[in-house]
Amino acid sequence: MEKQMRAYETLLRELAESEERELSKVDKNAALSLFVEEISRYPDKRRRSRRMMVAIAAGAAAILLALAVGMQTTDFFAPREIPQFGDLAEHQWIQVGPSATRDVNLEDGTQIQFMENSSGRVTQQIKHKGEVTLEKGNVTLSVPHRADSDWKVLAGPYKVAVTGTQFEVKWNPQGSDLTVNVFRGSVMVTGPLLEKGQSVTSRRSLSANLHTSSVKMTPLDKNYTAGDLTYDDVNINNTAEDANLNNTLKRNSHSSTSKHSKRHGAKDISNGKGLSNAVEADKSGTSWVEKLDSGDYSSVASEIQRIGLAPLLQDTSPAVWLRLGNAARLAGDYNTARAVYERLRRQFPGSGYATTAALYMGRMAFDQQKQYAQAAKWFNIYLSEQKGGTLHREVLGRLMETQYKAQMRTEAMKTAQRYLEEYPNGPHAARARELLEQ
Amino acid sequence: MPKEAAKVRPLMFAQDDASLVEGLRAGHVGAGTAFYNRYVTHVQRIVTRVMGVDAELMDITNEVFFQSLKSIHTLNDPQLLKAWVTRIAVFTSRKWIRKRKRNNWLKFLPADEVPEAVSKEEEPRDRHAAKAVRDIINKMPTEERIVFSLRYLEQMQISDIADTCGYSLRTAKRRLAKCEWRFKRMAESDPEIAARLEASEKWRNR
Repeated sequence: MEKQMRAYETLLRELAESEERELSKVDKNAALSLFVEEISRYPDKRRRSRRMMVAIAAGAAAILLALAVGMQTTDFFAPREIPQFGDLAEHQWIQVGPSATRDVNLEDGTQIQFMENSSGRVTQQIKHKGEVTLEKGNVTLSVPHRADSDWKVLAGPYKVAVTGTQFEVKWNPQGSDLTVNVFRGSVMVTGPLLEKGQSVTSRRSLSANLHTSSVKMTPLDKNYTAGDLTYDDVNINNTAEDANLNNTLKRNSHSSTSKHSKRHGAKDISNGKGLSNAVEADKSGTSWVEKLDSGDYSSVASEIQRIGLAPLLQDTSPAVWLRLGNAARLAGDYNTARAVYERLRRQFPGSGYATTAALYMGRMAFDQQKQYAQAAKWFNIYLSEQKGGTLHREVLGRLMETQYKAQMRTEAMKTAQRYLEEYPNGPHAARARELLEQ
Repeated sequence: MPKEAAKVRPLMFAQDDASLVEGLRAGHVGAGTAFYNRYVTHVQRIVTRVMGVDAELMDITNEVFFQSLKSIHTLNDPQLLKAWVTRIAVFTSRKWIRKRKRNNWLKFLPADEVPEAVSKEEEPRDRHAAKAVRDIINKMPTEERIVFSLRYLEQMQISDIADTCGYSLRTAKRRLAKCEWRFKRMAESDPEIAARLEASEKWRNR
């Protein structure tokens, strides 16, 4: 900030923050519907300025004439076409009552049927590609196979992607229960418990429940029908394959339980095979996860020492690794913490967890170990991997302090310069100026 | 539209800005909605920086998006979509401010738009001072107000301000110097700000 303005730095920042707070209360969805409404009224909108047009016409008829001639050559005022799905406008919300269905037939042959007590909407972004948002209930899709088809059904946190198939999606938001029944073709389901994606092929049914953290694949019942979709008459024995698949799903759902249950406000519980071993090995009767949750970090650190890192980290999610690393760090076991963080960075390079691990290593080196050169290295890595983000400003300030304390004067000045360019009002701005003036 | 429609999560146009621009040029409503969803926060922030928290924010935002849709064909490089939208937001805010100034000589507010009298005792001191700062900014000449807001509230670089406002760098610098001088002069004579600065000074010297 320029010299004469420094005195007002805090006041200006407060003003910006208070206005941002006010702005966050604005209902953006309300604005969206207003905008969509505006687009649909676009051809009429110009009529509203008739009064102004009359005034202009009275004052400058010649100019208006010239404009009209110019505009005739363009489609500037041409009415915009709103894509229609039969009698249904794009984005229009659909609600189907009891004992009723709602069909949406598209030009490319895609048929969508919202079943009774369902709600959602359909959008088609470009030809043969689109999305169906299912708020609740069930919807069936029959998508003709094309090389460029790309349809998705969004149901709660799940995404069902499809290129050409007939299938049904059921979503019950209260029970957090998803069912995908595939009659023909195949779909790919991604979401909680299925982070890596699960393919569901013809005549199979996938069900996932977030409350019980269970995922199950079963053969589709031959007598099962959904709207116009019926079981394909080819006999395929999927039983053995499904059994194998269910074992895999069970493992996967266990390993991702931690992440999704946290998202749903549930307690962070079991984390797979490695964890089961660990829990069994704990004679005190309290698992290390419970200790982790209760903030008993020194006990967690002791557990890590007792059980060893490898079995604990086996089959657990990177989120849990990060928590383990933090527990060890806060318990003062820096070597273990570093081992966990470094392993996390090796195993999940390029992920957000790896970047966060770099930040924690930087903080550990700075706050606890006073190893400033090491801290500067990790803060630099964090900043190079995390472009922007909420912590960017703080880490940049920390990096400047760290470099200064590590006697890296040139680097510190460069960072100070960068800080002032990016955040002239930031909390480290005064310190950055001091550094540059020294 | 039924009332429950607000519960449905708006769908996002998954592609990058280039595809979005292509969709907008094709006049696709899906792209229009996605464009709105992607930039509404940014646009409202820029408008608020320049105009403050405004009762007509919703209308101004819609105007920005409408102008953007109308002139999307003039955007040469789709990668610069955000900068281009920022520019339209600033230009629209400028238009709005000027329109208000023109109509300000005779102003009758409808009964439901008359601002409530605010009891000063109810507001904390910091809020007084921040409000006083906003009042000063709003009293500045339009161009200076825009430059000042973008520099000190949005923290934009001077070269970006020049691009956004359509000035030369030299003009932007000159305007910035002038608005700083004006702000300082007005702030010094404002009792709320003076009291706040004095309190801060005492605290610092404690």
